[in-house]
This record gives sequence, structure tokens and C-alpha cells, in this order.
Amino acid sequence: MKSSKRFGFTLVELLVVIAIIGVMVGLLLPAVQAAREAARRMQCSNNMKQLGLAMHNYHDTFNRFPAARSACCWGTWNALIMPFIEQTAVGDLYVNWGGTDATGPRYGAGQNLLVTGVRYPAFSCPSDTENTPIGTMTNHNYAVNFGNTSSTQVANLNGIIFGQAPFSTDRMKKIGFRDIVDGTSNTLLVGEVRQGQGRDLRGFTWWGDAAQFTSYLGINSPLPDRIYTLTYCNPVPGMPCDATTAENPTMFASRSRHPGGVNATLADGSVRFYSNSLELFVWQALSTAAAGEVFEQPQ
Amino acid sequence: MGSLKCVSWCGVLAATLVLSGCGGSTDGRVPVAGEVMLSGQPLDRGSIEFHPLGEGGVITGGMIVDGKFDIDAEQGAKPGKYEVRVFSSGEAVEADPDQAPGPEAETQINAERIAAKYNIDSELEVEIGANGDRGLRFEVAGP
Repeated sequence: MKSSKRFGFTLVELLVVIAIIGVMVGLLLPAVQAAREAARRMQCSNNMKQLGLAMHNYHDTFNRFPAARSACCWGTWNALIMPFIEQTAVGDLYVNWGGTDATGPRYGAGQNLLVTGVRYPAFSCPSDTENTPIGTMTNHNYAVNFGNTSSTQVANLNGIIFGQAPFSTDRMKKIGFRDIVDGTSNTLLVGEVRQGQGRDLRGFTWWGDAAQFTSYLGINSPLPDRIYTLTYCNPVPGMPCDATTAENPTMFASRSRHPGGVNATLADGSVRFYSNSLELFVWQALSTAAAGEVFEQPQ
Repeated sequence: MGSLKCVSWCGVLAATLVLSGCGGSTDGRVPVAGEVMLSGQPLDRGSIEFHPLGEGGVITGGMIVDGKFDIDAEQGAKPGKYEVRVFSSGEAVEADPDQAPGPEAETQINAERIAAKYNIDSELEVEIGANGDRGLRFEVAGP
């Protein structure tokens, strides 16, 4: 027997090396994923910042915030804000905003399909999964603040009293900075919503019902969003939904795929991250424009 | 023997890595779970809400599927007294999923299947203990 002087390594040594590599990759991978998500969240909040600036510029031009919706089907704020996010051509393409069936097509027909059948990165949060629920029409991620009750802004929803909002169901109602009595740094302007998957119409912001969010339900609420028919409700984890009733009218909570909370644009143009654990009272106080609550912004 | 030792060390390391991701703070919240029966049968679908009656509580709730609800500690209730509201919507309103919704969305409405005394005028109350409660049971009835 020759004494083995061969240069090599034993099985044990190999296993140890593999184990060490495994551990290091195991440590690194979550960190890499977290860094990627942080980058996506940053892009998402930048989009919201741009929307905040666009709202301010819109206000400079028209002395009011854009109308949120024209009933169900004749346009939402998305079409009005286009010229202020350097999409003037798209804005010009949209016809019959504020009209009726007698005057032109709805949001999902004719020429308007050229607008609503396109995905806009400015309205999309990269953390979320893109979806086109009906034909080519797109879901997006940003919705305007409709206050603390329902999408119809009922005056009293199971004890929660409507405290005004920067956007209204009535497109003719001129709401501007003068109406944000609670202070622009204490009032939400734009919030995040998640895109419904499959046939789910959450985030379908071309449609009047889904152009807004309210704070009756808390951030990423475990309670269901309400949509008028179960046909358009596809509950996936983190997105419970149920059908509208008189007791629970149509409403959508602010939701996101970011770990632990949502971004929101305030009326002063700043963007902040709000945690899931934020007290519901504070979230509702943030969403009202003229309720005069006393509360403290989370740090 | 050597490789066995290595394998066991690897196991310990892997377990440490896996477990280190768990056990986040729940901020004093405790899990709440149980059953909801509608006229003696498990309530097939709906939602349950817990509204605090005292100081320091938090509003929480969850979905009911096949009579069961399960709210984990992360989104759970803080110990204390709660008013319970149970909702379950009808499914009468239908839509053509290939058509963009129109004005009918604003006029049609589903009926609530649970009587008002179990939700908006709730008489149901429950005390959540310091360690939560996983065996709650509520009996509700239709209007």
C-alpha cells in the first residue's frame, strides 16, 4: 500500500463546503429579494409622488382637483390627469368624458378603448401583478381618496360619520385646497389598491366604482372589499372580497403587496408609508378632509 | 461518524435559519377563531367583525368559509370585550364578465342574509381572553 499523498478532499469536507455555501445563499437570497422589493416600492412611491404633483398642477390650472368619476361609465380622474403626466396625446384621445350614452361611447367602447386598453407605468405599482380583467382593458394601482365611508360616500355607515373627502361622487362639485380644512399634510389624496386578478375588477380605475378607495376598512384589511356582484370578486390571499349589500355598500380598502403596509400621497404632495398596524381611527382621520379630528401622524 | 455529525450540524443551522424568520411581534394581539352557524347549519360564506366595547381594543375580523373563521394573532384582537357582527351577502346580482359594467351596477343590490340583530344592531358579545380564543361559536339567523 502506498501512502496516499494525493491532493484532494474527502466526502465530509465536500459536504461541509456545500453546507456552508447553502447557508450563505440562504442568508443572501432573502436579502436580495428584500432589496428588490424595496426598489419596487421606491418606484411605486415615486409614481405616487408624480400623481401628487400632477394633482397640484391640475389644481393650478383649473382651481380644483380633478373630478373623480362621471357616474359609472363616462370617465374617471385617470383620463383627466393624463395631460399632467406628460400624456397629453392620450388625454386628447379620450372622448365623451362627463357625457351620456347619447353623446358618445362609454369607457370601454369605441375610441376610448384606445386609452383604456393600454397599460400605463405611471399608474402601475411594480410590486403588484398586472391584469386585464375585460378584453384589453387594464387594472391599475392608484385610487383617489373618497373619505371614510363607502364609494357612494354615505353620510353614516354603521356608525362611521362621513367627514368629507378631497374627491366626490359628484363630478360638478368643485373641491380644492380651500376645502381641505383638516390640513393638506393631514389628508390623503391618492392611495394604493391592488389589481384584482382574473375577472376581479378591483383596480379597474377606468370604471367609476373602482376609481377610489375609502378608509372604512383599514390598511390591507382582513375584512372584505365590497363589489356589486360576486362575478367580479376573485378573492386571493390578502384581497378578501364580497358582494355589495345595503349594510356594506361598495367600497375598496387600500391594499398593497409591500410587506407591512401601503404608500399614500398626501394633499401636500408628500408620499408616506403607512403600516398595517396603524390604528383605524388614525387612518380614517387621515382620509377625511374636514372632520377636525385630533390625531398624530405616525413617525 | 464524521459525516453524520456534519449532517446534524447542517440540520441545526437550517432550523436556525428557518425559525429566525418566525415569531414576529404581534403587538399584544391574540388569535380568534371558531364557528358560525346559520339556523343550525354552518354559514357557507360571509364575514365576521369584532368591534371593541372597551378601551384599548382593536377592530378586527375575517372571512367565514364553510362555517369557520380563523384570525391569526398578527391580525387578531386584543384581549377584552367585543361586539360581534356577522354579515353574509346574497348572490342575486349577476353580471356578464365579458362586458364592462354599466349603470346597472349602481341600482342592483344584494340582500343581506343575516338578521340585523346579529350585525348592524348586534346583540352578540364576546370576551376575548389573554391568550385568545380558538373555540368561539355563534348562532345566527336570517331576517
